[in-house]
Amino acid sequence: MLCMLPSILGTLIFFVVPYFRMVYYSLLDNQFRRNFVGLRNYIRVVKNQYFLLASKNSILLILLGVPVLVIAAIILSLFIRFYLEESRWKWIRYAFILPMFLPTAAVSLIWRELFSGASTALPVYTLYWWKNMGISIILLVSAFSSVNPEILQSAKIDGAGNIKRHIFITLPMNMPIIIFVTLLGIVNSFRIFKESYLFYGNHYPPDYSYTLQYYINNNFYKLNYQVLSSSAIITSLYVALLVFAFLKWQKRFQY
Amino acid sequence: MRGYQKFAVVMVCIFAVFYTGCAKQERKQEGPSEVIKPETVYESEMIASMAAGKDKDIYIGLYNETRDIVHLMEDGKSETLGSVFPDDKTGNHRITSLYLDGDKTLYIAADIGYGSEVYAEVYRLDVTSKKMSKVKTYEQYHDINRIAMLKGELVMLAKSAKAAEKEPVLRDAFDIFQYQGEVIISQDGDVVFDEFPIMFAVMGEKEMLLYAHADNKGYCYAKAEYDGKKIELGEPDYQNLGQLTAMTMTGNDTFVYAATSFDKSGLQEFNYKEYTIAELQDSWGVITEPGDLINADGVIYYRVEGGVKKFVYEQVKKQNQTLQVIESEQISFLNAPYGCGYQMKIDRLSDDEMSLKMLSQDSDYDICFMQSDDPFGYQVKEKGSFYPLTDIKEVTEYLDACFPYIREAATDGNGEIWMLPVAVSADYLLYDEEMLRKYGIDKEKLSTLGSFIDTLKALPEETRECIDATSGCMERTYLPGFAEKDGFNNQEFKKAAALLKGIQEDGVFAYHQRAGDAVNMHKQDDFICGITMAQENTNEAFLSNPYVKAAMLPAVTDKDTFRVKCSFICVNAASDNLDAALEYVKSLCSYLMERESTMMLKDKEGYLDTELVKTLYDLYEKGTVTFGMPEELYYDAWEEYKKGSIDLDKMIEEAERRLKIYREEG
Repeated sequence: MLCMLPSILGTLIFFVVPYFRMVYYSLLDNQFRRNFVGLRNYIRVVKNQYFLLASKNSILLILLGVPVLVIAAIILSLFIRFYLEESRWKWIRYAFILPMFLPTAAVSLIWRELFSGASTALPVYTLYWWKNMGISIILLVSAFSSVNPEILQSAKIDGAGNIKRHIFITLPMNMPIIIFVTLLGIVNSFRIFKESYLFYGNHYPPDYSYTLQYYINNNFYKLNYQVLSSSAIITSLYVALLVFAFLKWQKRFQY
Repeated sequence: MRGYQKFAVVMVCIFAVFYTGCAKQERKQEGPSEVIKPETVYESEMIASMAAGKDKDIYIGLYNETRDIVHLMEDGKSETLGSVFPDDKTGNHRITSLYLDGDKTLYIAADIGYGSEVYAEVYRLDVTSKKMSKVKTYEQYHDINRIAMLKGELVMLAKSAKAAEKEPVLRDAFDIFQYQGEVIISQDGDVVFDEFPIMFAVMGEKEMLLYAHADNKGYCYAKAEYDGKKIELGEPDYQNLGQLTAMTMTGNDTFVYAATSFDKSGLQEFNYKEYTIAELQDSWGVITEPGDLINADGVIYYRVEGGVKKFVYEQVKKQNQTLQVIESEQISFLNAPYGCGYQMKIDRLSDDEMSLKMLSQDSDYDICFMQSDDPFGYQVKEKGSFYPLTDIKEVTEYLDACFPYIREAATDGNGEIWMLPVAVSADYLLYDEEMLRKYGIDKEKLSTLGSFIDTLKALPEETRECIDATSGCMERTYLPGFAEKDGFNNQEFKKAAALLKGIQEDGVFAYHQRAGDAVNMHKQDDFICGITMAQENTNEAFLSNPYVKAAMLPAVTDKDTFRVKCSFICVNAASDNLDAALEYVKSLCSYLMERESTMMLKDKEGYLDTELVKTLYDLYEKGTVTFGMPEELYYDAWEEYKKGSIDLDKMIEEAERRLKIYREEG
């Protein structure tokens, strides 16, 4: 317990206390006058068309972007772990972690050139996949490495092909990690704001790319702390719900 | 975690939230400070330079026909000592600088000749016997505008044509340094310092405080010592005080200076130990040539239009706890006065930093200085990030003395006074009636944008240098008006957009040096008309011309109003120094009430009686204060439209979309 104290204190000071303070401010009309208004700010936010638009876009990014990211990461991880590592091309795996080290500003410039005529959110989605593929692959490859090769060997002897072995052995045994990678993908979908902002170059991207971060950030510049905090809390609540649901589901796969 | 441990954590959190977030402060208020007005001690339009003696005797050199030296005595009486150059009938000798060594020896620097043939000479005048002798001729130098005695010999700031070939490296966008070949030379004419000196003030027998643009890192000041051969610079401290043109020491760590900087002008005192600035006199009428600012034993003498004024330094300079001021990086209000003797520390912040400071209710700043065309200013009002000034008598009196629309802009929806306006400015049409007649231009044709553009295009080519209406300036003048009011989806904008796009490559609407100089640099040289936000109050060439007048901008709609930009201050409600900040606000109100031709006060008595000022008064009387919208709402789309990447309908659609988000997202 004592060893954890610095960590607990840090979490309290930098996360827990500010969070509760934000909850407090979200119940006021104005942090300078401080008149209590109850849930009025939340109702205002929930009814705001741009909050709804931002939520829709953020949820779409989760529903479309995350599954593609996870499936692609699984396929690539299987390929790297079970095929590339035995070959002389294994150095290619390092290319997947390169996006983690490249400066965002430079990448956004390149993306702007590549997708200059885009009229959908595809540039943001591809940026998201490209940026997060690396970390997902690292986690999955190390998870896949923990599968006992004897199990796979005996399945092979029993006549199971490559695909069947991975579908019925590798993936189920690593489901907790896959769920974790999915959760990470969801969390990172909220962090794509920086890349998106640099890509569009202003605070008012096209409607299809207007996500919750833009909504919150724009209200920051308007000193609209009440809307900012209410929307942040609403967002944190449904992310918390998602995480809770995934963690519950993850328990089913603990062996 | 056990039950009691969880309870303890929750209690700590609740305590932390309320303790750090909830304290409200009760404040008391104090009485106002008196406004000390400077006293005029000498009147003349022909002052070349000044020097001060130990007994507060002032010597003034004139550039009249006879190049007289006037002795101004402490009791206010003056006597003319006579002509410095009685044999010169051609006006070839021009006094550039004076320096009084002791009580009786006056050194006079003069320029001889004109243009590329000019050179300098220094003379010594015994003020008792009135005998004059030449010290030396300096063929390679001219414009000696500062003389001092260090280690028993003269040290001078002069200009050298050869040194002017050197190019300084400017540090950033706020670096306005212009090098004209200044060097510091010894009495023998040897260069003792040539690293872009700007000005110096004497601190002792061999010491000076030197302000320079050294090492290519920008403006700096440093203590420097003269060893008889060279000036050795001490450790430089890099502070951008602007293009400083005169300075004089007022203490061990302080000096008063006159400068032109990106955001200030006038007389200010800088404390280089504390890094605070105290504004002693605003820029109104202050001339900022090197020989025009002297400290005679605690009395500051400085030149203004038409004479010399003085004030007692200790009476004007407030001994206040330093006020912390934050201002936006976007500020470009050169003549907004707000110091009135108070010592201030000024931080220029980006929008991010300003937002963060206000939202986190930082208590380490006292005053926030903003402009109404910065969208941030409006948010401060809307969100209540200010200390209400409603109950301060001086503030109410001051606002009652202002035009009603200014009072209205300073009052929020709850009737509280949220800001104190300190200066206004606006874009308007400036024109010379005589020049319009000369070129056969009908003034009525300048009243709408379309006919304004057509009329200027029809002018003969040789007159284009006299027009100051660049396409960029016109865009930045007209586009914000649409964003602030009716948006872009209307016929008026479509018409204006086509007109503004059409003048992009037109030479008539490019920048013309001659017209720009006429407006900005106190010259008047064949200026016909232009769209400007000129600091009209200090442009004496225009002020004295009965034909130069102001009018509304060429209209785009029949509902156009005179849009006024206001610079203002807000007091931070969470300030640690709230009492001092409110004290300052009261002083500032008294100070602003005494100012002339502010274009804010209703009383016509406080305005100069010139045609330009009268026409401006009529415009400002019916103005409206506009609060700006972020440029990114429409400017990107406008640039794309100008380039031809998108058509007008697409531009309007994009701008309207962004405007809608801005207005409705929170």
